[in-house]
Amino acid sequence: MAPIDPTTIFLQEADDLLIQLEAALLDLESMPNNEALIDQAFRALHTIKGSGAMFGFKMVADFTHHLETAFEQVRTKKRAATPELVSLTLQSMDHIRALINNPDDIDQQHHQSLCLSLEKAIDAPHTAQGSPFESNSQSDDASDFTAWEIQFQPEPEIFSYGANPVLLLDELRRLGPNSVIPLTDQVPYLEEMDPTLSYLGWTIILVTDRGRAAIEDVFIFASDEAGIAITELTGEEAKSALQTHGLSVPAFDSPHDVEPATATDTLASSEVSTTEPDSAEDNDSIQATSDRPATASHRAEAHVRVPAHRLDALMDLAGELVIAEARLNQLSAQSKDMTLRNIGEDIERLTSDLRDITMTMRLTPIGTLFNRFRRVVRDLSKSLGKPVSLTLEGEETELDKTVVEALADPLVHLIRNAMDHGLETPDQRAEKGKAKEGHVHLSARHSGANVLITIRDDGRGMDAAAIRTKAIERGLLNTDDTPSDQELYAMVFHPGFSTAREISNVSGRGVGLDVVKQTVTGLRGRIDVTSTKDEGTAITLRLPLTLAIIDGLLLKVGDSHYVAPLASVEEVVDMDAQKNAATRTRSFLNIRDAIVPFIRLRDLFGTPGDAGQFQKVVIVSFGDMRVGLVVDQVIGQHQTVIKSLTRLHSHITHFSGATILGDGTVALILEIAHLVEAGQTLEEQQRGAG
Amino acid sequence: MSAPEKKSGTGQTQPRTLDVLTLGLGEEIFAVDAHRVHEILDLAKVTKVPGASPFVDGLINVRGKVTPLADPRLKLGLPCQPPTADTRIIVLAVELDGEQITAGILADRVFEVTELPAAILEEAPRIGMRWHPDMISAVGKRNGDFVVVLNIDRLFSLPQNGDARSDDGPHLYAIAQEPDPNPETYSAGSGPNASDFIL
Repeated sequence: MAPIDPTTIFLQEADDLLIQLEAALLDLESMPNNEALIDQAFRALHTIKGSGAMFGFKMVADFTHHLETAFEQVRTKKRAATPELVSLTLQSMDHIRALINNPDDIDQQHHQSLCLSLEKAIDAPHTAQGSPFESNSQSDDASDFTAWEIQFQPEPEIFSYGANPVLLLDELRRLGPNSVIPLTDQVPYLEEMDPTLSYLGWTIILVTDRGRAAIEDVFIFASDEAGIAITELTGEEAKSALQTHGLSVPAFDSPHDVEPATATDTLASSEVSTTEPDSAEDNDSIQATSDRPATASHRAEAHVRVPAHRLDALMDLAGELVIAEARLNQLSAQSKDMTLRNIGEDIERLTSDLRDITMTMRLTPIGTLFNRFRRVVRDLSKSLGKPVSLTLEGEETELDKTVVEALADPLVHLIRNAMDHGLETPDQRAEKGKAKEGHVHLSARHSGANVLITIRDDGRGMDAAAIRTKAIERGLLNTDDTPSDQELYAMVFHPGFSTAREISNVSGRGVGLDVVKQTVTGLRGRIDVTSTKDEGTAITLRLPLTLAIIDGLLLKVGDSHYVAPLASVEEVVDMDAQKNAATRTRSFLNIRDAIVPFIRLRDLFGTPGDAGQFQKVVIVSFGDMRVGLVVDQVIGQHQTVIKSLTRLHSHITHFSGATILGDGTVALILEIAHLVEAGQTLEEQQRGAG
Repeated sequence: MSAPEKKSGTGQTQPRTLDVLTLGLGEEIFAVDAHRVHEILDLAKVTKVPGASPFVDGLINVRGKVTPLADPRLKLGLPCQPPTADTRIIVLAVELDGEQITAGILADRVFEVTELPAAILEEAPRIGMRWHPDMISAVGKRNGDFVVVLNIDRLFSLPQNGDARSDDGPHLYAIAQEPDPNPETYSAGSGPNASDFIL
């Protein structure tokens, strides 16, 4: 196994954390008092900071620290999660992402200004109310303040783990008034010193109201590499320790609860600086603190990270197994040996379960993608000055991971387009008697072998006449052409087409919509547009599930086998021999009073020979359209492992791939979308011909 | 890396011997770079791909992988005889527009893997050849016979010569048989092979 680069792990982890953080922040906007959300945001920030420091992303750690401080204040109810704070945090979050991904390409000015606004945000209430210690000392809970003595003895090799003890000390200092005493007794003579090792230890006397957990949090990432002992100082010991170190905390002017058990363990301040850090007491405390990672681990969700290529390999194997199983099945079905047949059936069941589970592992709910759009809509709504509400539907709809990823950019573009061009300004909306707030609805649902993703807005609708004018202007259309509204709407996806009269920085550059179309076509999908003036526009992306294994219907034409995806098959009807002759010239069938065009696959594929007496028509559908495929024979259901065609054949639009049958031969998988379209064209042509 | 460019024309630039697999197409002996060859298979059932270029209109199952099968005779203008007991499929690596794919080619016979010393490899002459020079990476001699080393990548990527689909008669490289072959006529006779079906 190749060694795993810890930085890569950090990058992956940080990415997930930033996504969590973003979701929490966006939810916080509407529920500013939700503690669970605040905690989630805080934890994400804390972990980013901690592991950032550990893996050498110093700028990330330092920057995140400001945010963490702010959220610590929110968490301890010293500050409300105001919209301004959330906004600032969102901006900062983007900055963190930039710091992580392009540390060498950072806009320093932006960095400075963010740091400044953050510091301002953090300090603002403090200057108004005085320091938290003073403000707290006026209240009754002064007893929350505790003095702590912390022994911190990093292992000599701590630098090699990428940790910096000084950062930890700095962090401790922020918890409250403190005194840090370095323990220099282990520092060797200069000639014996190894500059890569740390010889120092520290004793820290700290007064804070945060409790033990806050101190342990500081060391959360260092507890394995350092001896850490945290002792509560009580009563007189505390007092004298504080006096010795010149720390003055009003809370300690009044008597404090004395806990005898800890009091005996407590060291007097004068001894502190000379204490050997590796005392027995210290070791106990190390054990106590080493529990910390265990409690921290419950934060990690019960997910396992698996590299995508291993999943792909598993999928391939499952596919091979399905094929091998088909062969076994063919054999065992002919066998008279009942034991063999039973085993065959068992293997069939297991294979099919394995196949299903393997496939679901590659599926991701599209909600992961939709959630990203909340941010897009929020930011855009502000910059455009159009209040917009976004509603989501069908987030649980699952799609292959690669498809979900490929759709991210096209969907962002369509949403931007809807908000920028589709929705009117609030004033225009008011004039039309619409609610001032625009509405964008994003939905996903399964439909047969497809997933439909719709972006609907309640804006002004597309102006077919304007599109027409523009298309003529751009030379995409002749002046005497009379395309339908549908065809005109589809033109906006043409390269170089943009209907926005003013070019904004959001959309309207005329690039993008054609890229959307390219991506969707690349995924073998289609785009449908419907639009009504002043009611809005709906753009539907129709995508095949593109699973690696599908249920198929095995067909025979001539000597060759073909597979039609079963989810597209509506029914199979007999091809009446007489009708066959009569329909030689007109290729329509009457299926329960609906006219369905049909295609003879023999003609289409140029298959030689005679079709035989018992041709069947397989009625397949794509969207609302249907077409009949005339085949020689319908063989039956077949678990189909889709293998893609190489570049040598990828231009042939009749087929979406190939598969291997039980007998080892190759069968082509019919591309239903294309065949249905061909059938519709045929219908139009024949109608035109009368 | 200027080597691949030169390779299409000259075998002399190759410093060492070339391991080749020799095969027979019609009456001719050809060779392919042995390092490209994955395996040699007996002829199995071939699935025709309707609408594909006749040169590569088949698909075969190579241990669970759907692999395109090409007939080099069509590109080389050699007669297409029905398969015999000697017919083999050579599975090899092809680089197509920068993408590595695995494909099979049909051979009427497969002889052996052998070494062709660099010294005997010569650049394919631009004139007087029966085959388009771009499809040939070198010409050598073996046991007194000419051995034409095929440039596999170019064989797959170059457009097919004319309509080689008709089933009878030799598909000779008509232009090349004339004493003065004109390369332009070659490309004029070819063209995109994607046959569009009219519905």
